[in-house]
Amino acid sequence: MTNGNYRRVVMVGLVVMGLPVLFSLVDYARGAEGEPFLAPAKPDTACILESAAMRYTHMTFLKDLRDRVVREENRSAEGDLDARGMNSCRGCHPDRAAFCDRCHDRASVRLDCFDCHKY
Amino acid sequence: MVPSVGDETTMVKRSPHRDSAPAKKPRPKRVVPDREVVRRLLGSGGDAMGQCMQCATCSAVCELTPDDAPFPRKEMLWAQWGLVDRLVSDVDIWLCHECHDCTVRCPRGARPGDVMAALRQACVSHYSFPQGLARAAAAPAGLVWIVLASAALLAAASIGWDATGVTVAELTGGGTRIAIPFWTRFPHGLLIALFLTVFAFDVAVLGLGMRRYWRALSATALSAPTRATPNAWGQSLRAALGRIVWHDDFASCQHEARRRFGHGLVVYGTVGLMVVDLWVVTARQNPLLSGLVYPLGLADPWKLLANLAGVALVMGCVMMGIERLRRRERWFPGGKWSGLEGVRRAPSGTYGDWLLLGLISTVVLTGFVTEGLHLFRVDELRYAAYAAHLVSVTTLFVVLPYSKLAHLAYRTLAFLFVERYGLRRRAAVRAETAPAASCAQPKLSPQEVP
Ligand code: SF4
Ligand code: SF4
Repeated sequence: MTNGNYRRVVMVGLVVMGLPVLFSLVDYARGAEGEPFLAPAKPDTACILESAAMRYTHMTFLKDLRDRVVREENRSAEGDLDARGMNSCRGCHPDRAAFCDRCHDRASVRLDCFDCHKY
Repeated sequence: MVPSVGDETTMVKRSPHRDSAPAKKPRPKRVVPDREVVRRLLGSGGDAMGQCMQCATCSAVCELTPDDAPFPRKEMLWAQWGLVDRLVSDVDIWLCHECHDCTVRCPRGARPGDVMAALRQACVSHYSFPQGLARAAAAPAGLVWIVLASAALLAAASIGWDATGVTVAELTGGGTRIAIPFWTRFPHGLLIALFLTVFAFDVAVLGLGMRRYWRALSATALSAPTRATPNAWGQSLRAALGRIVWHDDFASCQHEARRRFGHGLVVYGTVGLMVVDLWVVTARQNPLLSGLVYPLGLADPWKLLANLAGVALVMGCVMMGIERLRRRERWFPGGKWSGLEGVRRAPSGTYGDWLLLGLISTVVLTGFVTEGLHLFRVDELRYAAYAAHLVSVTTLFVVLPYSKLAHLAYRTLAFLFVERYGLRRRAAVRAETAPAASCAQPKLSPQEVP
């Protein structure tokens, strides 16, 4: 690689590094909405946990419930299914596409619950 | 050679009382070899340096060496003798770019390129503190302890952070700014605090080492400006940084020419990843951001840059590794140097070379593995991979000021020094190197050829 080409490649690299900053600035200037990209819950409803905690634990929460009911045959937990299972999500967030999917898509976190389950 | 402006003869005429007058032969000095240093050099890449017969082929073929007291022949001698004072105040060891043009041409197989690498490691160890850590970073046996200590440091930080309740506060706070940490045991606040602390430590160690090295360098330089108009500080700094940004010095290497590209990939890949890292971990403080700011989707510009930079780093590491491994085949081509079959062919590269390449590769590969396991939702393993990633990053940061990675500070300093003061040495060094200088014909540019 000649000296001139090398310099050109380095310059392209430096420009590429600046691009995300540029995109972010443009986003900011356009006032692009980061939030609310999630459809808000139905009015007058309360989440079973604080929303900040739900962000981290919703999957653990559902798995825990599944384990208790299905794997440990703990029938006493069945009563929780409607109140705290996936059914209860739907009660407040009826539109899955605007709630679950939108966030998972944005964060590139694969959402495979609904390959088997109906929301 | 045509005497240039500021050459010694003209300088002496200007100030006959200068202590560098070449007319007076320097009085012979008793040299005191430092055996400990010799022992360490032998163990860190200089194991063949005893083979050197001072033929100066190496200085003659080196494309980077100056005409005035060229390297690396004189360093070979100093290394053999363990003349530690001269070695650690020598700016030349940092002008060498480890291209190994000299190594493949050395008729004795003394591997001067590796010796220069060993000398740089010795220089870094010499100027850094605490010495115990410096020694641990320079030898394979110490690596285990540094890795274990890094893991312990991370574990302690995580437990401590959790105990103070900061983790919960961070996870539940933040308002509309959603920045989900990759692993709640290591929220972004903890990562910032931890790595800022380690980074401050690195800066302190490197800063003090550079100060001491600069003083040693200044003591060896002639006080008079070497150019008709000496470079000002700003000008020198710009020139030095230009050499780094464009990798100019790599361009003259003959044998491992691809190192220029490989090294560039590693450098700019690292810079790219640093930029993304800063963006991600400061997401909670960044006024430009709101809503879901982390995790980043695959199509996010920052994610694209991170993946691109990671790929560049891997490619760069592979290229440099291949160049290094192939070096061995270039020695004594076709068994031409009969009589040397008995000379043990040492591995290509020193421990320090492979440590750096290995650490950087580990950091990037564990990062990619973590990313892959996350995308495919292999939950338990992804945390294990992320733990390995964090430990390797911490290890890299801990050994930074003691390892080959310290070259980013010391070499920059050496560039700045030669840009500012030029390469004039005290007469003592010149007189000493004179016989070799006449042996190794300095490279003449076309207009200089008589
Ligand atoms: S080429 Fe350099 S290192 Fe090799 S024997 Fe000659 S002087 Fe020594
Ligand atoms: S490794 Fe390359 S730059 Fe260093 S002394 Fe040898 S020839 Fe010169």
